[in-house]
Amino acid sequence: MTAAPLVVEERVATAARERLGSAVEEVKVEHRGRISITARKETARDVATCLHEMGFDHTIAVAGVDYPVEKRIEVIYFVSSFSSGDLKHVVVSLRINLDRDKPSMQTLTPIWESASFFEREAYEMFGVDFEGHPNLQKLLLQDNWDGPPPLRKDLRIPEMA
Amino acid sequence: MSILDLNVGPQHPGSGHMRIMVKTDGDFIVEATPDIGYVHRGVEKIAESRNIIKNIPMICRPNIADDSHLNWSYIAPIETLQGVEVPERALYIRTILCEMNRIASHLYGMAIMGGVFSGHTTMYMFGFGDRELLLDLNEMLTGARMTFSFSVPGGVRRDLPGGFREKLLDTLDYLELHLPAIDRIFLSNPIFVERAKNVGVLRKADAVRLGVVGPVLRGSGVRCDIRKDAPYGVYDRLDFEIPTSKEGDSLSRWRVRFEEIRQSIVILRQAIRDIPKGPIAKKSPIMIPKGEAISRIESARGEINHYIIGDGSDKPYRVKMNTGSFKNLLALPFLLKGVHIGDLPIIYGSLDYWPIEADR
Amino acid sequence: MSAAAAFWEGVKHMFKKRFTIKHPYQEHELPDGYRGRHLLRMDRCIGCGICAWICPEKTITMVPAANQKTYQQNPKNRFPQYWYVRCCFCHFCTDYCPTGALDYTKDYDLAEYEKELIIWSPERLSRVPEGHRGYQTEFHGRAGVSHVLPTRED
Repeated sequence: MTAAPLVVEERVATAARERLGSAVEEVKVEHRGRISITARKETARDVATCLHEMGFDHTIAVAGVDYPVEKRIEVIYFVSSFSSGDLKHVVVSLRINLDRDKPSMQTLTPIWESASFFEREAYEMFGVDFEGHPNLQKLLLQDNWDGPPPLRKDLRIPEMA
Repeated sequence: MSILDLNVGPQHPGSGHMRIMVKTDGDFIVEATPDIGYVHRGVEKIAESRNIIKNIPMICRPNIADDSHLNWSYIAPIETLQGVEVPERALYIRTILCEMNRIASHLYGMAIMGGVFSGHTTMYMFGFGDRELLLDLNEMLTGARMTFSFSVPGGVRRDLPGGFREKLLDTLDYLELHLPAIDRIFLSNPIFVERAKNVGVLRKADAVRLGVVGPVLRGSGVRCDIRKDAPYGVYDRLDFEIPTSKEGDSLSRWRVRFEEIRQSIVILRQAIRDIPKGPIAKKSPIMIPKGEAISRIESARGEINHYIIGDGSDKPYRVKMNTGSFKNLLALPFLLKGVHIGDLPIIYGSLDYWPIEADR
Repeated sequence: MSAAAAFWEGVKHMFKKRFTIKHPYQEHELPDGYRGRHLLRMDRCIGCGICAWICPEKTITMVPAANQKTYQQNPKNRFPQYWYVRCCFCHFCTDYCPTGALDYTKDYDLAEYEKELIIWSPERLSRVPEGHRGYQTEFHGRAGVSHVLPTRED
């Protein structure tokens, strides 16, 4: 729809590829204002620190996605910027793939404090363990919930029958 | 020094069920922990089992006063993935409805979260009385007063009825006359100013670090608004300003919302003058192609996002919803440290926190 | 000084005209297209079941007509029956009906004392209320319901 070249997005993607190198698996510009970076769980903290230095100072959402056939759970951090003028319209989605049987990764709250409650929600809904989180407890579910993590595809609600 | 455990809630003070566990030392709060989840209904889980049109009323219900923003935010990624281009007239009608909802939501906020939480019943009556005029306009346009589920992928469901333009301009003239009265009884009233000035101060650096959005962010001096930074719909053609405030206390957040009502009136006058003729909806199939998309829309409480993954069928594979109230929740334990207990309703109210929207 | 001005701002409404509508003695005037209960035109319904399929709350079930009259355009003899306890009045059924058999009315007072009376049969839905003016939008029937048609009873 738009013919203007994606100058800002290409600049960010090139800088990310140069600085991170082999720490990431893929850097892709999807369309206007959307960049996708796929990282590994061991290098997630370094990638996050690099993005923070580039100007992305807060998370807007943290989403978990369950792929039971491929046996993985994907955790996506959507980050954007309040302070840098030309990065305000860009959303970078930082994707990390975790093993479905034992999903765990290091928390990114020391870098982005705004992700604190979002990680708690991903913990209770998907069972992802964020190592080092200051207060990893249930947020939305009741305290005596003993079933499987609700948003995984194993849990079938009556409406799906 | 002895610490007392105090339970504020679970109760519905004006906008939804919520509980704050407070530890106090005399009259001062040492630590406050919000306990949410009382109205959690599992919208994201249910949305995976219904097709995309059946989801619309359910996704709109978390915010009853401001639901056209949630509606647009859910529809936008579906339209991106399907590649359907929405007609101009439909975008203008959506903008008119969204700005009317923004004014109604701010009047609701000033009435309950500003008025009732501080014991000001006249503000409650003024706010809800003026909001009735906007609900009558909603009824004329969509058929329902609240939660109208008006946008579908491809456009809107109804056209502007006859007589709508005159009634809208009459309502805007009346609101412009009545806003100074609201200012006199509420924002400039020395009794309220005494309670709200320099209470709950959020500095600029803390606001950016905690990731708050909406009027809470603009009240701390950060000039960010999705309608100007990443325009959607027809906002890049409309001429309006973003009110901000430097102080960062509770009174300045209310003043930002009050000025936003004035800017919404400016936007509405331009939109109803410039609306072109044309169709109101394009045909679009009831299925989502394979792919993912995220939307960013500025609602009355802040930025909302919907992240939708499609897999080629008529049901979405994953719907992730993040609303302004959930992002602002992190500011509550931060602001409540070391304040008097009597300041708790003022600070909680100035965040305009809506538990139903945060819990989904 | 401004505390007195704030006080007067509220008190002066004591001397102004009231604008409260005293329900149920006075009626609030409803616009055309108000989302009340549904009106079914049995001579237009073809029994496709799209209304039952699109309903978010599973309010509608398709049942045969009670009287003996056969409608040629409805070979399977299926008409919608509404269980109004579940309806959220979104009116997707009215807008997506391909023949325009459903319509909006201004009936909103649907409360009953008995549970059985809250289920509205197709014949009861087809009773036209007093002073009814229909409402048709250009969205009717041309909403683009494409290849995904219902193939089972909903």
